[in-house]
Amino acid sequence: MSAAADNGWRLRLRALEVRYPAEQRWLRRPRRWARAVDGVSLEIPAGETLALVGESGCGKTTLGRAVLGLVAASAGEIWFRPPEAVRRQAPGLDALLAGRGRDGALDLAALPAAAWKPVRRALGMVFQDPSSSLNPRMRVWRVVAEPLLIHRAGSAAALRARADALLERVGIAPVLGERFPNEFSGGQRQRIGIARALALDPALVVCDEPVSALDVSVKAQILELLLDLQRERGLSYLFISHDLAVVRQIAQRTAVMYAGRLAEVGPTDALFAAPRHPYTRALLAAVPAVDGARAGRLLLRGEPPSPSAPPSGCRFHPRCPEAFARCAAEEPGWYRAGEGAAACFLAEPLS
Amino acid sequence: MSEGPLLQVAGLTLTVPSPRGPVAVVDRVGFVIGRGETLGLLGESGCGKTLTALSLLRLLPPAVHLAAGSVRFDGVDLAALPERQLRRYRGKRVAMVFQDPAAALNPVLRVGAQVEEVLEVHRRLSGAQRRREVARLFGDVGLAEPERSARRYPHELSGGQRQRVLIAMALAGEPELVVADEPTASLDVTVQAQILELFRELRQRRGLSLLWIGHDLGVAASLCDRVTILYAGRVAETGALARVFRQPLHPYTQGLLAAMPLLERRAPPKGIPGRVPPPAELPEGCRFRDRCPAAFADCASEPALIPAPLGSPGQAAACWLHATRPGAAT
Ligand SMILES: Nc1ncnc2c1ncn2[C@@H]1O[C@H](COP(=O)(O)OP(=O)(O)OP(=O)(O)O)[C@@H](O)[C@H]1O
Ligand SMILES: Nc1ncnc2c1ncn2[C@@H]1O[C@H](COP(=O)(O)OP(=O)(O)OP(=O)(O)O)[C@@H](O)[C@H]1O
Ligand code: SF4
Ligand SMILES: [Mg+2]
Ligand SMILES: [Mg+2]
Repeated sequence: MSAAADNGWRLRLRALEVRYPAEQRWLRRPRRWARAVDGVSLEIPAGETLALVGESGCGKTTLGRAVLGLVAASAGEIWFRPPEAVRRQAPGLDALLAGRGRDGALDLAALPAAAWKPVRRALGMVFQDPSSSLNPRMRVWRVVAEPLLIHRAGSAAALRARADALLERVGIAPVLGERFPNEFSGGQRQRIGIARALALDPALVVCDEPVSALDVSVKAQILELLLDLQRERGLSYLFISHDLAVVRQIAQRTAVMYAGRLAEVGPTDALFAAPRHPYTRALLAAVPAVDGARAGRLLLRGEPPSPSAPPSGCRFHPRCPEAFARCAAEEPGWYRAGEGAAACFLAEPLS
Repeated sequence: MSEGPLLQVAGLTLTVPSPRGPVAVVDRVGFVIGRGETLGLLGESGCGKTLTALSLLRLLPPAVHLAAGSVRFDGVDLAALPERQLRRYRGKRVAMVFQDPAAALNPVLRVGAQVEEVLEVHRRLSGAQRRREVARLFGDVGLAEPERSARRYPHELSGGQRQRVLIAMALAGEPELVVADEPTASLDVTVQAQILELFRELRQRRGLSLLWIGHDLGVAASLCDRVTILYAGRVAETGALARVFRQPLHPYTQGLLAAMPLLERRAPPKGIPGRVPPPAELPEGCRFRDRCPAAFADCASEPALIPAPLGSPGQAAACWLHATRPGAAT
């Protein structure tokens, strides 16, 4: 195997588009579509975390689900490059790569459903809504061990031991493994979902609001666990979160999404220190602080745009405090913004 | 309307069955919410916040038993009220924002129709009035295109949109008290700021009282008048927000505040070491003893919730470090 394959990107999205019917008509083709994800390109290097942040409804979950093949991409490419360690464990993956791969990677957007199984074990997902993603009739240790069972990875005793170890790592006493999911609190269920997503030692995990239901102390433990696994095994994360303090701590790079598009991308520290896109600035200004010094100032007014009828020009222009005539007429391209890039005319270099 | 606080919870004890008999997951919990006041109920995952909230309107899951306690709302003990009379309170005078929006919404009904149902039952509005009111409520919680959103099914909404539908539904009956269980957990900061502003406005305009359950101390700080901190089903500390956050008395509260992730701070803060023991394995005496950096011999017996001698009026902690006066008891 070439060294480049393990050191380069793990995931690369190219002009990804996912659409939903905007008006559902019974048994007929929808007349209009809403593009929940509208031409997103991004890259996650092996062993790194990319945070995806943005307003509620901007398309984060849809993007994450598309990567896992849980919702179909209507256009664009989703390239996933599994690391050597996963290729050794997942039977069939090498054959798949030999047939359809390019440069050791697969375009998941073009992968037929029947070919997904060997890829699936390399991908994990922590669902935003833990309760509805856990089978209510299954004991919790089984919920956690189920992915291992599906991929036949070990004896019954080994499965139980693995489930117990995972539960312990997410801070749930293994004795509670005999209980059912609805006997747990919201935050406990969220942690069960995390344990399950990590069961198969995936190479890439899409974490959709993985710590949203956790208090500060448990949250710190879970973040430490995710960071440990990244250091130990070179895991990559697509980390969807609205908690910017958490993003700051876990993500090397951050992508800011607005109405189905990326508004700004860059190294997290630089982006937080000097946000360039007015939307990123509004987002950072709204973070509530415990000392009340900055008690969640509301800088962003007005309606979020409708995905079925996005505004002309820059999608942010109707709400942007700095918008000028050009913003409504023309869509901004990508401009260098510090160490990253922003899709805003204000970031355009002066000519 | 009687005088005194709007809600007075005392001695609330909730048990779940276990192989060794019933164990208390919420143990002699008490708190008070004044009219127009916001109380934050805070604490680690699994400490009993949701069950406490659900018990107020007796919406507990079947396995959980209300073993003792009273829930006096406007002078009436809801814990002792017959089910039929209790229904007059639910959604009308006391409304609940559930922690789990997906489970609280009916998957086969359009979300607008679900809110309309509340308006029909509790406010007896006509069809056209209801639709206008739904659009207004959806606008208030920041849902884009309120009319179109109302026609969606729950699964066609994003996580944060579903959560806001639930908030709109709770506000639909114009309740006096809203019990909000992690109502902004899946909202980004800008939408969250809008929701917080909405609650502040309702408090000012209508004297809405709020029981705010959340794990985000920054949000609590910007909204609550007082806070009650739970640990493993017991009240660890209670008091005015400013006092508790600036001068926490209980080592657990101190640990929680120290674990706050801050935007300005790059390194992940350390959590409180260890985890909350399962209910059946709680230590004797102070429940925090095994994890407490300050534990000493006295902690082997259970500390009562003792008013802090140096704290502000109303601040109290269940910790032997602050039990300087002999004979103080619950
Ligand atoms: N139906 C149930 N049967 C048995 N035990 C339960 C049930 N529901 C909750 N529990 C237990 O009761 C305790 C309190 O749960 P609760 O849901 O009130 O916690 P919480 O404080 O809301 O936590 P979180 O912040 O994670 O939502 C937990 O230890 C949980 O495992
Ligand atoms: N099944 C569906 N059918 C139609 N529209 C949908 C469907 N699922 C999501 N949408 C819409 O697509 C947009 C993006 O939704 P998505 O769940 O990706 O948002 P999100 O960024 O994850 O938001 P949140 O932070 O609230 O979870 C939203 O406007 C939502 O209403
Ligand atoms: S391009 Fe114009 S409208 Fe868009 S963010 Fe920049 S200034 Fe605002
Ligand atoms: Mg989402
Ligand atoms: Mg809860």
